[in-house]
Amino acid sequence: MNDEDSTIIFKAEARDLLETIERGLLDLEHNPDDAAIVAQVFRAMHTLKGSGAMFGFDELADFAHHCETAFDRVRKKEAPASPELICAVLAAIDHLRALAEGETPPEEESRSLLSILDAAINIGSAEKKLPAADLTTWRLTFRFSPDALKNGTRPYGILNELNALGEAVVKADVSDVPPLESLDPTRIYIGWTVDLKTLQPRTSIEEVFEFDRLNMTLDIAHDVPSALEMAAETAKPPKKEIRKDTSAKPDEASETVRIPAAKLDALLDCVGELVIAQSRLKQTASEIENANLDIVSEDIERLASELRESMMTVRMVPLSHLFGRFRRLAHDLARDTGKKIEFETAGESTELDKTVLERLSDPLIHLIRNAADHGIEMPQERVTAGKPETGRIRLVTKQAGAEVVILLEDDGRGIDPKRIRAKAEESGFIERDATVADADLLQIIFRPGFSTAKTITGLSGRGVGMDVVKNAIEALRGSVEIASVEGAGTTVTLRIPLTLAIIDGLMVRLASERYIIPLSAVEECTDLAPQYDMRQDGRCIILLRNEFVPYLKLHELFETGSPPDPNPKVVVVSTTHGRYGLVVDEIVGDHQTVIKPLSCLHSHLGLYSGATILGDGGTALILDVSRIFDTAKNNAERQISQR
Amino acid sequence: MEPQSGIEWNGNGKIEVLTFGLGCATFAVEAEMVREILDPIRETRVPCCPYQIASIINYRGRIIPLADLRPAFRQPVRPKTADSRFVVVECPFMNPTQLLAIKADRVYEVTLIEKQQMDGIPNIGMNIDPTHLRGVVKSGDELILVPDIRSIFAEFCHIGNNNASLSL
Repeated sequence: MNDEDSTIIFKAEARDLLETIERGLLDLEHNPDDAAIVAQVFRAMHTLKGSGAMFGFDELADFAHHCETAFDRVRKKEAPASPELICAVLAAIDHLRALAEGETPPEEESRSLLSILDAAINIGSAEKKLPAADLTTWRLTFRFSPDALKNGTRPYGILNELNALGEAVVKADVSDVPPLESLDPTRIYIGWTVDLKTLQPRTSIEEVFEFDRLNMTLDIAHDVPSALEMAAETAKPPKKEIRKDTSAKPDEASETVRIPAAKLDALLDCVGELVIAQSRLKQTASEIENANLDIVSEDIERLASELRESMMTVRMVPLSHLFGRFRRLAHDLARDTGKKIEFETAGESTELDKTVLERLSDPLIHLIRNAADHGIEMPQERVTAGKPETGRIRLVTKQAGAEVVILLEDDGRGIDPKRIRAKAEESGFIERDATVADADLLQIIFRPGFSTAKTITGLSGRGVGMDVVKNAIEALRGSVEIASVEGAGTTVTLRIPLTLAIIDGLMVRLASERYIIPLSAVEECTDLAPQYDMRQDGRCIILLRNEFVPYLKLHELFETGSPPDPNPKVVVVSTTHGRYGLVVDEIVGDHQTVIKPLSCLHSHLGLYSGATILGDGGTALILDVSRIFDTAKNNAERQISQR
Repeated sequence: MEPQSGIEWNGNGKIEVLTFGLGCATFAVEAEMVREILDPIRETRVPCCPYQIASIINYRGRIIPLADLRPAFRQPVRPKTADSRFVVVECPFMNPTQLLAIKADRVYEVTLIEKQQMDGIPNIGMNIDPTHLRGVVKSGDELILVPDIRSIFAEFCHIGNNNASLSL
């Protein structure tokens, strides 16, 4: 492992730890007395300090040390987990995050953060006195497993910490030390007996050993009046093993493996290739007609499909990865707007493909900001409206078939159709006095350049808004809907496909090329009856069960240069702009499509959402039906304006 | 005009190149850039796309663009022959590095060229866009063109358009 690798690992670990701390702090806001959360935060802070120092992030380790010290007082109940303290530590987390990413924030920032932290910890701590404890003497007898040094145990540090708890008399038991010739300097042969006179409770002593318990035997005896004849006692090895229950933690850690995303992507590429190679094998096997070859081919087919399934699950990440960030966002938004906001989440365990998850983050942040900024009212206004003072934003996710549905609800003021209407008329989105249903009015907010915010705040409302959200979600092949009841709140519903990597596609042929149309967009396929081919009249419309559906001749758009099939087919697809037909030469059939990205030379064309490799080793482009619709519409508009 | 920079000559002022022919001209690309030389495989047309990059191929499970330099150098487009090859090159200027297959009418050899052989680009008599060249090399009485692949494809290259982040 080189330095760069270890730095990357540390950064990833630090990110996780900071997330844990952040989550803990936000939980503490609701349950300030929950000792388990306090302990968790403390432990994470402690680990961060330790690994920071180990990987050479000294500044971070030093800063984390101060935070740890502050939080230690909360843990010992010397100071309450006050909202001020939580705010201060959250700010400190941001600082730590910057340090962990290798940035160098100005030193004053660090100092001012620490002084805020100090001030916060002293609020309310003065009146809280230590629980009165008697001076007790404990006899601690402990011995580490011989190879504990390799696991990071530092006996000297432990003895020092014990010394800090009170007056300690330390005696080493060297009876197990072997003769010099057989001594292995990396092993611990020494046991210790410590008589500790302290005010602290037993738990404080146990905490000193918290990180080493698995590697040691420890005996804590109460109420030893004074130092006795130690030599006689310590000759016997101590027996009792303490706290088996902590053993779950390291086990869990060793069962999870952290893999760089790029390696996972490379693996997915391999699996994709395997699937393709397998279908070629199948094709060849069917031509050769050899029973043995058939058996092998079937085995490979089964294995390839199992491998693909597992690969897909490996790439799935629970949404809780995102939710942590959002809780922090909601907390900050409440602080910045002066509103009272409660942020609730449900369905964190719903899983989504890694790539999808990453690209969901920005749109969701935008929606949450909108809800906090435009939706939720000021406390006073809410009370006047007869609502609870604290506004609520709920983020709910659930899986429905091959989709994940994400609901973002707020109980704010809702969207006023009259304001939208006024704004839409002003910007020329609709005609004045045109009759438009409220539900349709709401859809206007997804148009580019639409914003009703009366003033621009630092949070949202710069006119770049919902259309960006909509584009981002549609780029994920998802959809976004909005519903609102004036005065009662707004609900935004996002529907996202589970994965971007493999889709069900419909393969069609056009001239000599094959194309894939995502099956999720296909409504139906039909023949293009000659009587509907009224192109001579300049019309491209078929009548489908009493509804007119426009269609597009792909030959013309794609300039294939070859005459269309005498019996063309129409694939009717639905898009957010409505449905339309695509005329192709032949419908080949269903195709499990492994989506491969196009290079930057082609990705901007917009007509294609990617390409795939076919069973015969050839390639096929995957059509982006809504972008094709837009292109055709623009072409048509251009033609009209040229006339 | 001064010979274009950007060619990494070794200590002896030499560099290894692969030479190939397109129409009646000979071209050279740094051998280090070349990943593989393929016999022509099935190409898929990309409709509504500039002719220079109008195809894609399946290169070992990756979809890569198949480019044609002929329009940039005013060479006639001829049908495939038994000598036709695809030269797969790495394009480090595309971020992340991408592979690009270039059509060649025939591939000649891997050879050393020397810095002294390198010449500036004649201002007249070339009938091509000088920005598409990094230089010309005299080899006997032949002229070898060193194309500037970056400049030729820069106009088609759109990076990050799909990942336009939200401005809030």
